Amino acid sequence: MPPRRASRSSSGGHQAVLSFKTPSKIVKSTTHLPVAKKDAATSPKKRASTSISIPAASTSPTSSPLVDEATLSPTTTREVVTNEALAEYYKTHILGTRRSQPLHQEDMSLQDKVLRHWDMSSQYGPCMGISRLERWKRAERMGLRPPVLVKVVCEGLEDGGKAWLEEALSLRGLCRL
Amino acid sequence: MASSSGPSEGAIDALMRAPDSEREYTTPHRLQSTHTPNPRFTISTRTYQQQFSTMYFLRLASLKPHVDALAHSAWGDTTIAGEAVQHCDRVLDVRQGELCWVSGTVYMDMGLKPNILDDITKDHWIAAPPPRAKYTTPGADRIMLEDESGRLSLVGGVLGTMHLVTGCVVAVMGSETGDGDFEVLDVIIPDLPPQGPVAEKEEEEEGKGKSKGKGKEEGKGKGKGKVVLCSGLSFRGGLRESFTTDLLSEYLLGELGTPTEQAHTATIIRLILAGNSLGAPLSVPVPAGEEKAKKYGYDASAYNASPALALDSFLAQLLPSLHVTVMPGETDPANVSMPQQPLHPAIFGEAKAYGGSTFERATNPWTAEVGGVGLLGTSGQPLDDVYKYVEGEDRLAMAERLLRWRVVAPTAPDTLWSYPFNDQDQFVIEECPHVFFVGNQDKFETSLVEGAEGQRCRVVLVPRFSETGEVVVVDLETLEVEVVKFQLRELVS
Repeated sequence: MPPRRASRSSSGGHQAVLSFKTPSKIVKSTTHLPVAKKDAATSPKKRASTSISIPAASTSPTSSPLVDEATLSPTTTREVVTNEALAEYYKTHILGTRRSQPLHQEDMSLQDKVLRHWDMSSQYGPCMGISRLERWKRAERMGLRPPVLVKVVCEGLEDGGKAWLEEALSLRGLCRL
Repeated sequence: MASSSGPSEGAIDALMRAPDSEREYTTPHRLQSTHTPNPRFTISTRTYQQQFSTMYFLRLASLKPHVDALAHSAWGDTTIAGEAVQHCDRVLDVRQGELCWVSGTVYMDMGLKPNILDDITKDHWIAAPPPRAKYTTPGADRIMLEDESGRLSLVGGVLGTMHLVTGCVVAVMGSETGDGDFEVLDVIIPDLPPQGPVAEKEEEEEGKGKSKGKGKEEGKGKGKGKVVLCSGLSFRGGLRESFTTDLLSEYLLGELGTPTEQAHTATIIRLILAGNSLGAPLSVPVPAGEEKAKKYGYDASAYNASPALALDSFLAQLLPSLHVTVMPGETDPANVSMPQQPLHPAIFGEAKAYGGSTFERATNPWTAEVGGVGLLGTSGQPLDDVYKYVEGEDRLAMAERLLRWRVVAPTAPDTLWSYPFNDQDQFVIEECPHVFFVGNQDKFETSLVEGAEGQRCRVVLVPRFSETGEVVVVDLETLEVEVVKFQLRELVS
């Protein structure tokens, strides 16, 4: 692997601008409205008509209250991921499974770390040659129950988000994609 | 092909009689049946962004649950020498000395497999190594079990009886030895997939999606009909080949034989050409002094269209009366990588007019439901590739193992060129067919494979017509086969 550059701003440039400095909510409006599908399969704890974005996969033990519904207005339907939810997911499901802290990830934002972990989870298949969102959807289709939070984050990325590894290698001219 | 009455008397009586203008002749009608094509091997958009490792991941992800379930029920409460068998999730979780079972994809590490370095050698030196019939080196080959986490080298006597090839998904039980190899005590394969029931004719009328709508039921008492499997016609544009193929087309059209034979032929509902319908054209000698200038780097006048024209006229004779499915093969003008896409209609000048009705240009491998009976077949390349991995000559057993491994082309993409599937490995057999045929084999062989849940599948190896003159007739009702051989006496010497 080529040595990592100190600044990772190039990878963040393609994505929607997010601010994690203030503990405010990140509100992303989405055009699709899969409420009907999700209503049919949602777990009992989220049934408000304004709540969104927890599809059937939330019956797995990895689900936690990831969507903060209380502050949504009744007429809007948006996908919301709070900074706290992301941090909690990172702490329990990523750091919790490791024996040591990840190295060389000081300059990565929390979202980048979560997405990087998603790329490197080989049980959902290789990350190269497919966008992150498409890979999530394929894993869902195959019944592998990928974490829902990742899908919400991926939907905010441009074109579903290219894997970090793919971008890094193509930037260096090592793979033609 | 024996007639019901005495052989010569019946024939003489039926054929050798004076013309009689008062006699009523009944026209036998061909049995009609439904056909539901399955587009799983058709690739509409080809993208090559993805890697081939995705195919292995997809294959493992779709077959691992089945293998794990079988392994749990087989080894769940097995104890050997007082030690219970543990289950390891990933290949790398195996601990030394611990009795456990794990599942993954097999990889065969063989020194004689085609190597990119051989291609480079060929570039630099004139003499290329001759192509080998088999890749096996007994004793020096290594079998490995692989999944996303890593690889495990397998040893053990039981592996020699399994005849595994790269790409099978299996579960192995054993323990890791001191030098890192996994000593295998038992192996479990997915075995035959579940088989749907044979759809009755009445149910087919309810509009099954892409049914071609020719479900006219005629002669309910005649059963589901028969399908003729033929492969390796290898039209080359020569003169003599039309003798046997003309006999074949006369037989299929019912022009050959007594009324008993014609009634028998009237139950044939489909002809399937399983690959290699076109052979290498016989070269047209160019007279010296008349060599034309080469335009675009090749001599256009040296193209010999006679194979395609011969195949086209053969099909045009049959298509008004009979459904024909043409699959591409190794020598046909189709793409090299599996699954081969249907032949282009431009090759078939007259036959393409029947494209919407009786003429079907199919993929290789091909799967469809004919009269409610599931058919799956290839033109031979997957089996020929598996043959190179395995010692022995028993091709029928290899074809049966393809069904039991639930993968129609396990060596794709290792040594069999293949399209990198991104969504689903289409080579995984999800529903057990009732007839599984492999074309372009050396000789006709068949057997009936039975599964643990009552699945029955007729495995047929179809010989090359250009060499043997044999076609196989499969009865869809009873799954029995018979061979019809066409040969000219003066050519037999």
